[in-house]
Amino acid sequence: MNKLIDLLVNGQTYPVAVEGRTRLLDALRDKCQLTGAKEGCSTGDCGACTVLVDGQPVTSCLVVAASVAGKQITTIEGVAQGNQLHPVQEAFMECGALQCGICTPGMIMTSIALLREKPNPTRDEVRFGLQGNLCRCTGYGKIVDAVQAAAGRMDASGSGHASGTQDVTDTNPALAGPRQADATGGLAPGATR
Amino acid sequence: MRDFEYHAPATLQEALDLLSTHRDTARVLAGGTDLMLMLTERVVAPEHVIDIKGVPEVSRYEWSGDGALTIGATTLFRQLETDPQVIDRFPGLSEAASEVGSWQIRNMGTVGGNLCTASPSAEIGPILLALDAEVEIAGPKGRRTVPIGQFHTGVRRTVLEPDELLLEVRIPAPKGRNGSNYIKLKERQKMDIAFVGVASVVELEPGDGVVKQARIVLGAVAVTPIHAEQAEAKLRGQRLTDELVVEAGRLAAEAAKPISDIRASADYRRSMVDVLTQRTLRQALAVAQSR
Repeated sequence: MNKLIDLLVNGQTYPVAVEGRTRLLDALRDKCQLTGAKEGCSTGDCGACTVLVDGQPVTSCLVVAASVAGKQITTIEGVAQGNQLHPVQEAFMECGALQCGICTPGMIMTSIALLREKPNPTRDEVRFGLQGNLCRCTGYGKIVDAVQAAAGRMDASGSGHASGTQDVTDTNPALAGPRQADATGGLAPGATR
Repeated sequence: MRDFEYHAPATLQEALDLLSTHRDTARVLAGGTDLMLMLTERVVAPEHVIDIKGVPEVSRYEWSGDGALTIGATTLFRQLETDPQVIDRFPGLSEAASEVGSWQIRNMGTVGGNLCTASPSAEIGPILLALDAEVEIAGPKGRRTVPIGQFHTGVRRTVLEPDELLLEVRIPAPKGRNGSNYIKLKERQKMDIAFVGVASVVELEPGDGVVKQARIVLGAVAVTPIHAEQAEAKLRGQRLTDELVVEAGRLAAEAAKPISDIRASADYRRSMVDVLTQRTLRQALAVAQSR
């Protein structure tokens, strides 16, 4: 049975007709034509479909689309500003942190959320944050390099764009979500407990 | 996945009415990390899915003045993982929550959903049992309180009737010098299912180092989380010496009733219960001694 809902994606409202079973991933790809989020495992294990809902990473293959109507959703399409890539995107390119590229949108979304909570993560903290994003090409070393390279380039709002440029949060409130001050106890590697 | 009607009740009464009307043709949706998987794999095919995330009564998260914690059914693992008060007062609970799935999964997965899925290897059951938690259930006839030890009745089975809803979990305030610890043994660091999980809670008498009460709960080695009762009894009124910790490990291994499966053999699981019981006891003791 179809139901009309409003999905707020990257600061834009998409009125879409969904069935009960429509997953957020399907709604984004098929209804909003935002195909950046990839379908990998369909079981929440691989992270290729990761998007941010109210600033927090979730696997969109496990989300009922109707359940996130009205929430702020951010996809990979929403992180660059025009032709200016997000610092995490730039760092992934510079470090060669991708091979086949399927995991990359999810990796970048989780990395952005991670750097907002932990602006200067250690390698272990990056690995802990990316625990739910699998790269089947197994190029993890350069991915960790890229996240660390991007760390210094995020601006104070955590939105990713250097000061002086228009802040993406002007159009996308989800990227300006409340920051936890260094989230101690949050994304610390399990071993430190 | 078969289509279903999606309901988002805004009140507890509305949710209970939907459950009473649709009973076996309905499934409750909280975080969706288990249900969506079961729907995708066609393990279940409900006609109605009732999303309870908008129901205030299942969303409570409150500390009482004395340090007791009420955890609404839709509380996220991420909340328990990061709440500094949980890390301080119930470290074992925070450790168990941080062992669930990935960051993404912990941003979606809920305590109530995890308990209701009732997987024997679930992380949160053993530590809640070790912390003497109880659950509050609502149904058409009113509310009832069930000790967490009676909530799970078997593999993927609980005491919940089809028209009932798990509202919240309540953990009593930690008493005196109290420490807890949870260790999950798995092949990979993250995104894996436990071979064995052990939760220990140690409460010391004030002043001296004598154990007033010890709780040792084993996960993934029986159909539900179980107390290692003989090991617990052995420690009561004793000073936790190395010899005694080793003895507790041996007794806990005897209490385990593991199976052999694709992840591990029964013998290996039993041996690991011994090791993890010792480690969790030592860690819980260290926390208790630091109070």
